[in-house]
Amino acid sequence: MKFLPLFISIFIIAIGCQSNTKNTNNSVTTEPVTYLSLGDSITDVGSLSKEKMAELYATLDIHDTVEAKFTSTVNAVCQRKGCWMRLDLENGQEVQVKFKDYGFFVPMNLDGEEVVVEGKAYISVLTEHEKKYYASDEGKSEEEIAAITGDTKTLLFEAHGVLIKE
Amino acid sequence: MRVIIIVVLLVFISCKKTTEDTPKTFELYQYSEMALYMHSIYDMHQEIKESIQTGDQLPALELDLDQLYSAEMSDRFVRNESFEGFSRLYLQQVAFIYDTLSEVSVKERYNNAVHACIACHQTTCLGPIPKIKKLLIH
Repeated sequence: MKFLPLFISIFIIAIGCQSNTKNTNNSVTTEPVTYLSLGDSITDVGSLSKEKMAELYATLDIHDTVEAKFTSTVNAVCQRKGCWMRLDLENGQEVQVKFKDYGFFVPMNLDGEEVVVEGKAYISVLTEHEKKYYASDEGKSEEEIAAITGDTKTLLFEAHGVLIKE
Repeated sequence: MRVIIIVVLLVFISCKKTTEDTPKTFELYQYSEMALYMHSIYDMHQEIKESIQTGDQLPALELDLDQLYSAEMSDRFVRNESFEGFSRLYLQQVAFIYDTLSEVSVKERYNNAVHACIACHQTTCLGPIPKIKKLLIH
């Protein structure tokens, strides 16, 4: 009986704590998402999912270009400057994103973050020289870079605006 | 009573911790002296390109081009023999643009200087090449 006030207090605080947590979870859907904006000012309105973006890339051929906006997570970033990043697509595919006119860079510690990019989607061939260069940018070891051979058809994107979920 | 206060305080603190968000700190690239200098070189080329296209007199060379040999580079770039060689080649090509006795057209001399930039970037930093190519006069 002596500890009744203690139990009541803990019970009330625990409920209050839980409702705080619930409100935080709910706020993901009700409160606007805040972004760090880089490059041109863009919004997330009408942004395609990475699955839809993969479908769009599947319709493109080499040197086709299409305006697009999509949301995805970052798999890798240039560790020299943040002058390119690789975004996740469906089925293990990735898109290499560069920034229009080398006009802005993204943070170098962006792995795993959610981003929205708007710009031009296209497919091109990265030469062995370019692939080795990007691997070096990424901080790969000399052995890993030496193991890179041949040219590769690659999904590319030139972004004029990027939003990084805060 | 003291025990109650301590326990309530502990529960309250632990509760608060679960609801606080840790702010993200993003690590953005800080422009090196060389990177900023490259921007100045780009602007200089744009001015020269415009004057050639309009047929106006070439702008005076106000940029200290020797800074190419001394500007501090980003940590991950090295001023090696290749870079020094390309620097000499580039400065030579810029001097040719202003060679009034040359029999080669000013457009060609200008494009040669831009091609020297592209050739160097092929070995050092691929990123700005598409932007540099926009400086070429077609």
